[in-house]
Amino acid sequence: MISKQGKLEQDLGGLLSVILRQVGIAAFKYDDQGFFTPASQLPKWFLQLYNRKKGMTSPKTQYDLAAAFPFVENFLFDAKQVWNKFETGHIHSGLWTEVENGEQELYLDAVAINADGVPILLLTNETNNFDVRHTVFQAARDLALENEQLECAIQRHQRLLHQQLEGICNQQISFSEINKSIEKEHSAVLICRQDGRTEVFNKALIDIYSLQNDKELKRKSLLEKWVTEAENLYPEIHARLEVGKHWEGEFETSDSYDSKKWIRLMIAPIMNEDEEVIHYICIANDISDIRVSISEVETITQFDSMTGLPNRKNFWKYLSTQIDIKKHQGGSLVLYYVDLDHFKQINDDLGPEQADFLLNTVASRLKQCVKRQDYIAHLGADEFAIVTTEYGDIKSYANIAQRIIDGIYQEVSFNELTLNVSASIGVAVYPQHGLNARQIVRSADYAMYHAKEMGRNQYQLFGPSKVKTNSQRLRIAQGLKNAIDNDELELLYQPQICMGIENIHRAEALIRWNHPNHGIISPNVFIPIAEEMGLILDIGRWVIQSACRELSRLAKRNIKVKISVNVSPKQFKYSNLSKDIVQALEDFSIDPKSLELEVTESAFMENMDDVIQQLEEIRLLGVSIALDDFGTGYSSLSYLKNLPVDQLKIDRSFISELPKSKHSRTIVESLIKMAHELSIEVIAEGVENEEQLNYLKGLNCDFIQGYFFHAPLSENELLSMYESVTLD
Amino acid sequence: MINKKICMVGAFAVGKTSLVKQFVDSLFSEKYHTTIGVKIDKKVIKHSDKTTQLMIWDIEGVDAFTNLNSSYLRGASGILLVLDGTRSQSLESAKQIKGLIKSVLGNIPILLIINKADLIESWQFGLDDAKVLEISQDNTFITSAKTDQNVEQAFVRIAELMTA
Repeated sequence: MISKQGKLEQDLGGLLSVILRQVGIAAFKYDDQGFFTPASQLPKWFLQLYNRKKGMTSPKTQYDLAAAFPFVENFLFDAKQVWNKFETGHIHSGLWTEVENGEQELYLDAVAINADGVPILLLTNETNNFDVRHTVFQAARDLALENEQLECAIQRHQRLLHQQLEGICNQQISFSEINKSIEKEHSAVLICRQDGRTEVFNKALIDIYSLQNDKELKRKSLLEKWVTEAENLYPEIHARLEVGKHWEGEFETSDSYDSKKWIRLMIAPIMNEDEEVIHYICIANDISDIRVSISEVETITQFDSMTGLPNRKNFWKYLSTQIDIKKHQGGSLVLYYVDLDHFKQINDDLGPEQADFLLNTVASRLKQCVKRQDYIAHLGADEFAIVTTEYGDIKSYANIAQRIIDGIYQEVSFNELTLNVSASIGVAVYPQHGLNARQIVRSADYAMYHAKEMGRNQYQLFGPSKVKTNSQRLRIAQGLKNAIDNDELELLYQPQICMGIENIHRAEALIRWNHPNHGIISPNVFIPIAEEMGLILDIGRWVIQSACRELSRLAKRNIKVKISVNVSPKQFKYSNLSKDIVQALEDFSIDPKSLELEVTESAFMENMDDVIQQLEEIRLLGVSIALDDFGTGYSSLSYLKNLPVDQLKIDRSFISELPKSKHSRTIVESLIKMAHELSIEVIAEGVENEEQLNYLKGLNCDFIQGYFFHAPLSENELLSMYESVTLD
Repeated sequence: MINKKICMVGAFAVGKTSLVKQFVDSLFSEKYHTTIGVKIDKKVIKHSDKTTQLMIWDIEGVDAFTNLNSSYLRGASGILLVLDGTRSQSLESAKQIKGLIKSVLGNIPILLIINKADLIESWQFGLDDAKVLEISQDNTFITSAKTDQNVEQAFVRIAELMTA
């Protein structure tokens, strides 16, 4: 079995290494001795910084990052928490600053990743993005500082004014005289009796409450109104005033037009000789402007600077608030969770600048797809969210979702090419699909995931079945990670019987997963999940290694057989398949002619030229190639002549209808004839009865595979079978 | 030589970075340049008969949208809790930060720094108000990063406390 380190090096050795270098990320694998081994070619900025730190210039194979960077040393504690867990995950360190050449500052971030049990540390240079972030925070803090100073000035003034008024009151000067002293005061002043009846007030108070005349104020008890308004934020206000204590605070009040304002209020009692409250001095200032700018500060930090849309933080706040409103007022809201299809590939292929351009384009299009009052947020990377709060039925949700899909799916022109970008959308409705923000987002996420599974570029409304499917997928994904290490995977072998006069022995290796709790899980279930999660690369290597081991075992018993193994399109794209095969052939000293790869037509879909080149390299080794499931999906007879294949496997769906279906007969006859003309041998799979066998024999089909002859056999059963027949 | 990690903590814009800059480089700038994340500086000081290398973690100030990341405090042998005398809000923040320090680090030396002594006429609170933080007078310093008042003394004091 290949070690985890070996696998890692193979995985990262290719595409990922190139990407990491291009984006300037230094990637390392952590070892138990506390050193870091580069997992890709290290970027220049890192090497310069490290060499300066350690005073070394020669390239090293192991880096002592903890010694070079005290910040990383400290972060290792958190990183190890992630690395030691039995699940994939990651944690960010947060930004730190390093100084290069005593002047230039580098702003770095560390990310610890548990990649299927392999401890990875990424060091990213955030210097280029730092200015934008710093500008936002600087502006926010400058504004916050200014507000804080304003509030302090108001507070100081209120306290000073209170001292003056208290002095005047204690001198038992008449209220008309007091009135004169406060009439030009900018702060609103009210002196009232203990029961709230008004004694004296000034114009500033009338202005705050937009009163038409002072009679209106005399009729009301403002004290009572204030206490009622303030007690939501300050429940202690009653108790303090009752015992004659001073109180200060900020709260929202409403004027005579019911307009909302924020005021800062101080209420101070005036006591008589018997320590009884006889009057209150109340001083108020309108601080609505300050409050607005506090909210602006929050806004600055809750918007995505690239798209100008609210960010994830704002999204959660908005969604929670809207749900609270709906809880009290009734009604529903709809969340559309939008995820761009294949964004990562676009990002990788076109680079981050073009990817940003695409995200901006999508943001603009989303705005055109919904009403002005609807809410759009950019949650990060390729995820957007739209919230609509108007009542609607399923048809209206569907219309909006389709409009979004159509809106996004228009051409985007880059410098040298034009793309159509699609999106998958999950739709969830409050309260039907969740009673709080977290549940609604989870439901929409499930639905979006389902839309991806159904082929992308579509929307799905949340339904309970999606939860079940996703939970099952998660369980499978979790178990798959350990399946190889726990020896839960097994290869069975289904013989392919030669119809010619030569006694050629062949068998197809078929993978099974013997799950400790769920029994046998079909490859139809777990292979798509493994492909999606990238685990297929490990599984693919395991299959090749296991098949070669079996070939070696059979060869030692003098049994000459060819075994075919299935390979995934992902193995062409993300691994060095040729290298894996050479490794396995060498490990078990196998004649390459004993091994065959089965590839499906879908392998050629994404990058036909590259796949053909890889297959030609593999053929040069002596390994033969079979084209699997031929006749389904993308089949084109015309391109078959261009593919480097030795065998063609007719899909079982055609065989099962033989010989009754005229349609299937025509196809199978044509395929066999054409393949033979191209010197390609034909294997019919799924043969289950004598009638099918005889029909295929009549067409000179070269090999037959199916339950009519053999079910898939275990290694020992295969050995017994071959030992029971005469072999060359 | 003894190595010790100390952390500069406090509300935003109280002058943590300016204090470090003054102590390490003898420089001061009037312009407020907010810190994001962490910056680590080193300085060797001699105190009594000892030599200590201080590893000074200047940590982003606390505000409405930034909490103190407690993992940055890990391994610290001393804390400089910095206040701005002209802002009573910085005293409020300090109360919360001290609670966090206690819960994460237990009883380690904490120095209270009331900065901006050059603006003492604008101070909104004094030493009496700061008593609420329960830090002794011996460990309280009124400093000015601008005039270099008591800056070195404060760092020397924390070094003494850590190596005592």
